[in-house]
Amino acid sequence: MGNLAYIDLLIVVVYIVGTLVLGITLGRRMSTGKDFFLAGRTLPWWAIGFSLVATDIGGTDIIGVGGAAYSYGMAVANFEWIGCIPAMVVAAFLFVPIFWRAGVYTIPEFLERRFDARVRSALAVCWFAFMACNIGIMLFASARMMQVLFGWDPVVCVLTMAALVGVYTLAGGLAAVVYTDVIQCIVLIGGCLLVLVIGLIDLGGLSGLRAGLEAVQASGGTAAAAHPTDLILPLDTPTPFPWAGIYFGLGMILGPAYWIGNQAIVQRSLGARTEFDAKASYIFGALLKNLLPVIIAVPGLIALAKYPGLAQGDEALPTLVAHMMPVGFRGLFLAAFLAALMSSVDSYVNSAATLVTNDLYKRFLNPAASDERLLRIGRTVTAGLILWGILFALYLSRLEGSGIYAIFQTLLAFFQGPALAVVLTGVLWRRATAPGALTGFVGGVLCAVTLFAMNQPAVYGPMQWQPLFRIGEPFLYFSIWAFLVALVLVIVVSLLTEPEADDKIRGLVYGRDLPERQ
Amino acid sequence: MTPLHYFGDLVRDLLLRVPLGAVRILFVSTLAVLLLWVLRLPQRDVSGIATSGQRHNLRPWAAVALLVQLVIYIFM
Repeated sequence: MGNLAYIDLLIVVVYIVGTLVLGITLGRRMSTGKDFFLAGRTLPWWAIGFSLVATDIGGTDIIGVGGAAYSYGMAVANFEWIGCIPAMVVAAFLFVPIFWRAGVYTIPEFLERRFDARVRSALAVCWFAFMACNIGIMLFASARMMQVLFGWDPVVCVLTMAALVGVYTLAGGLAAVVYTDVIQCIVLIGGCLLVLVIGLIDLGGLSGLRAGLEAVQASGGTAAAAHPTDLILPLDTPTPFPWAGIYFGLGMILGPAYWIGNQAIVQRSLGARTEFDAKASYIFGALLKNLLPVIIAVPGLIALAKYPGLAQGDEALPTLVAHMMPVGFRGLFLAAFLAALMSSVDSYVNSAATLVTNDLYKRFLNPAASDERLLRIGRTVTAGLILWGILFALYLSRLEGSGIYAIFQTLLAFFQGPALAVVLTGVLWRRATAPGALTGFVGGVLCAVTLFAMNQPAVYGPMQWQPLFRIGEPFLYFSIWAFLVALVLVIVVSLLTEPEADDKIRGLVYGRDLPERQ
Repeated sequence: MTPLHYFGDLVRDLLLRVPLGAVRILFVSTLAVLLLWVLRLPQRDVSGIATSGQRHNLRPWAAVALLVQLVIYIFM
């Protein structure tokens, strides 16, 4: 789809200019750190709901989910359905109200109030490392994708994307991030919906899609051919989505860890104008999430029915767009791709800056810092993170082919299970103590690292062992065991240590002492 | 082979014996339990006062989100 007409480019330019104008306009209202990091706690539920969905769907997801559907079938939709919606509903009614009432800026800040500074610092460091690296990874992966799709220079793509996101995130903080996410989510949904509708019309509707998939099934060949529309796949499936990993790893651990404990996600609900808006945003997001796999995964199936011989799944959507989308609509799809990328990068930049400013600078270096000073620090850190993202993306481009990207993603997934165990017990169990939380978190991470090491050929080869897991990317299984080990350690050590004082944890644990406050 | 390998193989063998029909029941019943939980939550947990001053109930919307999931996991 390398050739774009002027009308396509015009659509992209209009989208970019609109985003920048909105972000810079909102930036004029910034005067304090609270404005910058929590949008002055003025955000309405509908804006946060759109922003939650836009943040979750990155630029690579637009292409990658369709590509995975092409390669493995609809089982990839589990990541948007069972991996998101139940966790969002639970978060809306159990966790988000408690976080919002606590009036905190970050989840680690909440954990210091509930436990102690050590637990706060351990989680803040892990989340910051995850977010900072993810900024570079997202920029690199998207630039690489734009090179493949449009033949654009990846270095120019990284620099351009970082500059665009940097301008409005630096100016407008969380408010700019959330309100530009609204535009980006609408563009994203519109662009993908268009691909779906045009693709289905071209195939002759749902019956045409069904017939095409049956033909692919009859010919065999790809992993998707066996179960193109099944969500639940057997344990020994050749795809990365066996049911046990999906149910226990994704549905029970990684999904809740993401929607309850990920600072980049939860931060926007902390900026809600009322507790009701905070809760409603998650429910609105859950309703939107029901739609997403239909518009981003089903086009992969359409490509499978129409072009069954592609070498790689990631070629599915670009091939579909290049062959089916008329002039003008390609620009809308490119705008959707850029929207998905920008909405994720801006959120991670803003949240990482919040962690550094709130959990490092204000907590340890300058507790008496004024709100205006925090705004200046937040903007400086934001600029630094953009620069870091550019440098890290360029560094990754030099390591391409070494597998560093996949290893990095796995390493970063290690702490999510233990972090969930700490947050869950902190909010739901009064008896959980600070030593228990810290021991559980450290023990869980060590468990994940050990399992990862035992699954590496460099470790099991010389010992003449077999790999510990039988699937290619067992990060879902790491998370299950790391969570279980962390949970057991939190419980055992908490029961062996002095309970936290009632005054300390009042209002921070789900139960009878929660006031109704709006 | 380490004890972890034996334990892992045991778990894997046990899970391989679970028929996919039972797995589907597991997925669906989890969603059903969650739906029941939402329907039984105290009113103060699922409602709130919007900036307009009106009290809104989020329970029906949460139920719709989960019902759609139930239908999806029953049939796909």
